[in-house]
Amino acid sequence: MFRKQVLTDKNIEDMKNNALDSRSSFLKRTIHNLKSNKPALIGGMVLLALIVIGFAAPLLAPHDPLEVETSNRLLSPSLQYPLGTDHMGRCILSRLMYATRTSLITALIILAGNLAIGIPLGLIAGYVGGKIDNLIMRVADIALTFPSSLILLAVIGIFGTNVIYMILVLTFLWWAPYARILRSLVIKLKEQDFVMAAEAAGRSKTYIAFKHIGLCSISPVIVLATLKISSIIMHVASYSFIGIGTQAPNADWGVMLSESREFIFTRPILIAWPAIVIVIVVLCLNIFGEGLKDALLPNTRMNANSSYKGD
Amino acid sequence: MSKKRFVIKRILQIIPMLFIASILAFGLSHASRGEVANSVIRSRGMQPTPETIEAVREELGLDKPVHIQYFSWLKDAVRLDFGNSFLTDEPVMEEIAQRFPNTLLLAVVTTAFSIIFGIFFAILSVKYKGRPPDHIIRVVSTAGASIPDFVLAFLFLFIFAINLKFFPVISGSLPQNVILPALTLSIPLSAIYTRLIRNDLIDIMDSDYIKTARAKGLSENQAMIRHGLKNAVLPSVTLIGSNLGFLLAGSFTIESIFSWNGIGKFVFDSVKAKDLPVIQAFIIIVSATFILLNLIIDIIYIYLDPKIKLT
Repeated sequence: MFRKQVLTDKNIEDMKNNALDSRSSFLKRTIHNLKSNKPALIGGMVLLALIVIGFAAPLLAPHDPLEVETSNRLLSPSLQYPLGTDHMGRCILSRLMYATRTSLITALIILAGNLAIGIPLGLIAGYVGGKIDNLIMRVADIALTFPSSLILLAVIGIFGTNVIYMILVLTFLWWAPYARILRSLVIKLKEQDFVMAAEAAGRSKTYIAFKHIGLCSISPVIVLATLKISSIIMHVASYSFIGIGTQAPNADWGVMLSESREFIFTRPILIAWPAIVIVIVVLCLNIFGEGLKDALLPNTRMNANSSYKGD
Repeated sequence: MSKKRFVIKRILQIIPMLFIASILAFGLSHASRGEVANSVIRSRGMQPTPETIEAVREELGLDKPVHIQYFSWLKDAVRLDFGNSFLTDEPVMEEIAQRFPNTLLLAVVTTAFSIIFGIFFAILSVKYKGRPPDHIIRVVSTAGASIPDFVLAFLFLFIFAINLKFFPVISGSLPQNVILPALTLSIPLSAIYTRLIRNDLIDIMDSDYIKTARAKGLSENQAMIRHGLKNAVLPSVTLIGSNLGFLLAGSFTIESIFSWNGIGKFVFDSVKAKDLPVIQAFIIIVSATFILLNLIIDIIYIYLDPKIKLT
């Protein structure tokens, strides 16, 4: 409600010029800017590697992640099982690979849903204004402040446990930041000379919305999405850990952690593996996101941590 | 917008939120009505047959239209009567009231830790801006915000409870054992506060009134702590308050990992046991606390910050 106004006229001009003067080399320049930022570059590369491993898990994984072999319980690392096996004799490396896949896909679905809801609503709110704007922003306030865990608990209590409910709840709750940023961009842009010129030249509102506003909003939306996806990943992992997200025996970081819990005395390494992978992914995402922010929006302050990331 | 209008608008805004929360909780109670009838019959020492179930359903008003059931449910809910737990057959409210002090203690200690750490490291970072301590604090705070709290919980449990034996593994909810879970919860929060306060403090140290403070002979430290700090912490007040709301809702993961017998762990266990009356009561109580707390903080804030722009 009292968030700092992050967009100034100068920023918007910058974004517009950035996007316009070299539309074809937008990607190239971003990469160039990122190259000078070593930590962001490393973070981005590690992330890319993990994404490839995750999506290629069915090809790369040495074993079936669900294959239970009770005679092979809690084996130490060997050639056959590079990271050893868990309490049910399943290959830990394969499970980790599939967990990366599950978590990334779940997070991407949620993010895509957030964007699909938030962007159009933000555009409408900003463009149409008045009562509709007011309504959309009040709903956004509610969506932002309501703890997702409460709604998820209720939905699961009523309909039963299924990962679909977690995806739906997070999709319908976390679109608000994108709506807010689009709305404030549109409101600022409406006053800008080039938009007024386009309007005077007889361009339709849809054309203006797509072309000019689209160009200016690419950078902030990309940055915000990168910063937000780490918080989606952490929530998904913690919901799966308590048993209201991805369900066992499917491989997921949270599921793996909760299954290994009882082995903290005897086999702490079982907990360490999924924990290490989550931390690496989230850390790389945050470092890369910060780097992306510096590269794309050098003079803007944006904070993905405007809400608590616990339960 | 005048302050008074803002307060009225903000109070009106909580009505839809409370309504949503009540619908969710009522949905749960509606989903569990079959089991409620059964447990009432059994508590009277009768056998659940179709006839007795029908009789009890009529007696409890479960055969009436849904909206009438909603209002009679609401009447009970306002009096905090949520029925008995399926598991223990004790009134749900008593069970929650018994555990709430533990959650309250954890929330208060966590908030205190996170504010102290946040302010301390922000000051240190600004004092040594651009020098090694600043770099270290920035790296550590990025990392701190990237570690999910349940991963941190396992790490601390492993290091401080299992290896060093500073704390018992099972906390037993004793007040002196609050340190480990509070530390776990406060680290990601401190990391966020450090970054926010640091950025605000850097802006403030360039402002005219700090220059005046220096000119009148205050040392850098005195100027920062006496004049700068208050204004740098102010923008974080709403965030700290809203995080306190999340903490009062009880952290499922942390309370469960440290066997801290608060409402978070209670709900975690109830989800596993499908104890719907508990989940129902939890949703209503926690969302009401959360919504009211946020309301109070927003109202206090507009009186704290004279520069605020009300939207």
